[in-house]
Amino acid sequence: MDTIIKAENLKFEYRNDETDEVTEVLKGVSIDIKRGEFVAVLGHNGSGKSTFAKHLNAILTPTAGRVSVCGIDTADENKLFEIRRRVGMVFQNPDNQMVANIVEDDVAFAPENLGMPREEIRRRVDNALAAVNMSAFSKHAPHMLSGGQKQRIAIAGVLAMEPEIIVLDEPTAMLDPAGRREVISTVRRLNRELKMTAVLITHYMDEAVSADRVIVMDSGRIVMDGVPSQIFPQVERMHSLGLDTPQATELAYLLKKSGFNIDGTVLTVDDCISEISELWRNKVGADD
Amino acid sequence: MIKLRNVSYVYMQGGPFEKTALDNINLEIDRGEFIGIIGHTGSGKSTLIQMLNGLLKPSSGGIEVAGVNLTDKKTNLRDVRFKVGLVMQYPEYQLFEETVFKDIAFGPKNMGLDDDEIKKRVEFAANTVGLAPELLEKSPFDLSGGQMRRAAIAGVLAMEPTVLILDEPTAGLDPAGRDEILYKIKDMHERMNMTVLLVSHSMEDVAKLADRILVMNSGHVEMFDTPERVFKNADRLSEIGLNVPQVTRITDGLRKLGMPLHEGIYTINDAVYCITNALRGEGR
Amino acid sequence: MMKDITLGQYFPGDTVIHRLDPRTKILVMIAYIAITFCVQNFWGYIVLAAFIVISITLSEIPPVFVIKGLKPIMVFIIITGLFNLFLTGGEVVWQAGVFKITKEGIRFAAFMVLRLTFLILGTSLLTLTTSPISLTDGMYRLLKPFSRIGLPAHELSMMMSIALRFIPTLMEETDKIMKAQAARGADFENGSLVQRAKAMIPILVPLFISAFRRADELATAMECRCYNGGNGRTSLHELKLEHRDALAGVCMVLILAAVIFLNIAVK
Repeated sequence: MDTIIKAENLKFEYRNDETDEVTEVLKGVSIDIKRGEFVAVLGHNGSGKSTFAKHLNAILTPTAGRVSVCGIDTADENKLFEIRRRVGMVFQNPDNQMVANIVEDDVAFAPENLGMPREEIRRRVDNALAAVNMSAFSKHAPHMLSGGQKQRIAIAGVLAMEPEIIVLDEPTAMLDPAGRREVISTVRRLNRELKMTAVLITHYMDEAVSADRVIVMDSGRIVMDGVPSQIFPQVERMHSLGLDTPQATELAYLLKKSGFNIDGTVLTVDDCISEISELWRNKVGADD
Repeated sequence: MIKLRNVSYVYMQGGPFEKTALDNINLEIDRGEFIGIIGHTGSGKSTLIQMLNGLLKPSSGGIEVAGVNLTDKKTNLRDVRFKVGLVMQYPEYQLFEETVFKDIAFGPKNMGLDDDEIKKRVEFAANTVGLAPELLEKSPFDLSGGQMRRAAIAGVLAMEPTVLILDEPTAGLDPAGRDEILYKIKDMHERMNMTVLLVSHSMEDVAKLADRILVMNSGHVEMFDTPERVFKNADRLSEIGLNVPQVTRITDGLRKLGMPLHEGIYTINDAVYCITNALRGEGR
Repeated sequence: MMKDITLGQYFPGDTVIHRLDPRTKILVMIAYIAITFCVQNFWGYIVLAAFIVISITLSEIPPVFVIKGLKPIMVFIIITGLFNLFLTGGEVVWQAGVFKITKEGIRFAAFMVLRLTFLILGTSLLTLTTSPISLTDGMYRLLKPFSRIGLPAHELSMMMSIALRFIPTLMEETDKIMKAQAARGADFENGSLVQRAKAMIPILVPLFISAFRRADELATAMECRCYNGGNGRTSLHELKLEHRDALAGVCMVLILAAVIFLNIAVK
């Protein structure tokens, strides 16, 4: 698999106009993300994860270091639109990303901006709405939809650019559990079926569990990077970074700590049940 | 403390979009209880809490809070609102004053308290939510997200209500911010002897704090019982689209495989304790 | 439930009038307004009345809705009528103290009232049969040729459509903020005018701050979707002039001709 996003010693700082204070948000982030990967980025508020995300489609450009996406340097101003059409970006508040009064007009916004012919816009709008299972709502007004539906429309809005990467900056923070499930399963499907590279910024651990790879950020740096089963079992480390771990993982971790011979890398309810039930069968067998 | 008798609420009664949000609710909540309220969007929980301080009037039925009959026409609803503090969702979006102090003082000022009392209350409320005194003279819009949320909660707390209702006070916060707010709420409940109603989407959070859990489903009270008894009905909870804590699902799964675990386990510590006992073979 | 109020007064439908190109409807409306000012005798108003009645019938909109459009302007119409009635000089037909009514006064007053009534009926019919979005779209396309001489046609239409998009959102937000401040004992109903104006501050400040935050986030989201002003933008919707649009144009020309003929013929 080839590298699609590459950050090399990315630094970002900004100056407060009033106090003249310089705040360093990113202090040297280096990472390679492969085409087709589903990467979850975790970190508490202020860890720099949103700032990192905004570098992926040149909303921000590095103070020092380099970010390249699909081989294009994001600092190259002439290629701004080439980068943005390749990297779709979805934000936290679904209301504040919708431009139009009708769902299909909103989804058409990006292809219209790109100056596509009418038939092509139509094709892309229909495909994008189908990809998020919202075709039936094409003529609806956005404000009558649920949070989860609105966020799926926002996803469709960037899919209409036919991007190679989709970056989601806490897309579920304002949604109820049902809305969260809708959005995450949509992203997962895009990743699996359309082979789209996905970068999901979140602080819900259950959403990160199903990613291919988890990156943990803390005060402007990447402090952990690995597959979920490497990251979450480090329960104490995660807690010290202000992050949760799935209860299943925590339970296995605590049982292991009390001396049971259990695989500490379980992430899901089912895995946890099968691990503990094996201990139980061994015990029942020994008792007999 | 809170009594609801046959309370119903119908939106846009008689219109073409008529919708029953609450259907014949009967409830009693005692003084000093910590109640968790869960239910998916549209289950009627927001309507319910807005009724408890008179923001919405029931279409039928009677509500009594802290000895005051809310459905009586003579009742001054403003006085009720000082007794029943309501922290709405994303309360930081209501901040409007020049300083944090003035914003927290808005409620007490509306109550007509004198300046000394207001100052005392603002400082107490700020301290209770963990806002440092030097932040009080700052503009609320210079605070961090978590601090703004806490300032907004302090604004309600400063009215020293006997009932405190919070609608998803942790929405949108990161785990550390969430834990901090929940800890403060628990602390307030214990120190100030308030009756607390906490609306949340997170079963885990509610389970940790509440004496009793009120489960709402399509305008009805689905369950209203201790967490242990509520989580005994994990299957029913999943059926109505609610997330059951992972530990409950794990211990339920293990019990089905023959492990001697009791029903309704909902905290990790309890689960570790019970599983350890079972595996060590001491039996129960 | 503020979000349930309808925007403007669009009355959805699928009739000939609804399906007319918004550009045609706007142009027809401009012509119609011009004609109402050209009319110089009552025969002309009969032509206009026939036009309005036929249009309402074709649009299948309950006439009550169209007439409702007159309600907010009624007082204005009556006052204008009375002014003309009493203040026009000429042959006196009735007098009581300083008040006198003249023959010319009656004629002028009736003309003014009819003129205003027809104006309102016509514009109501336009907004009832055209959604705000297609109105915006139509206006944009009519103004587009003028962008060469510096008219910000695209920007205007973008502003209009974003405003339309956010009105329900901000209404809902206002409702929420009002409730939240009421929960802290804010009182919006009692007190003097000054006190009540002051009571709006706790609503307006958060509302403005929120609107700015939304605008900021929306701008970023639009940039992320390759927005770059109106240059090179295309559109999903095709506006195509049909036979019915030509027909509507011909109708207007005929009405204009009829009115001018009546103006000259009936003296």
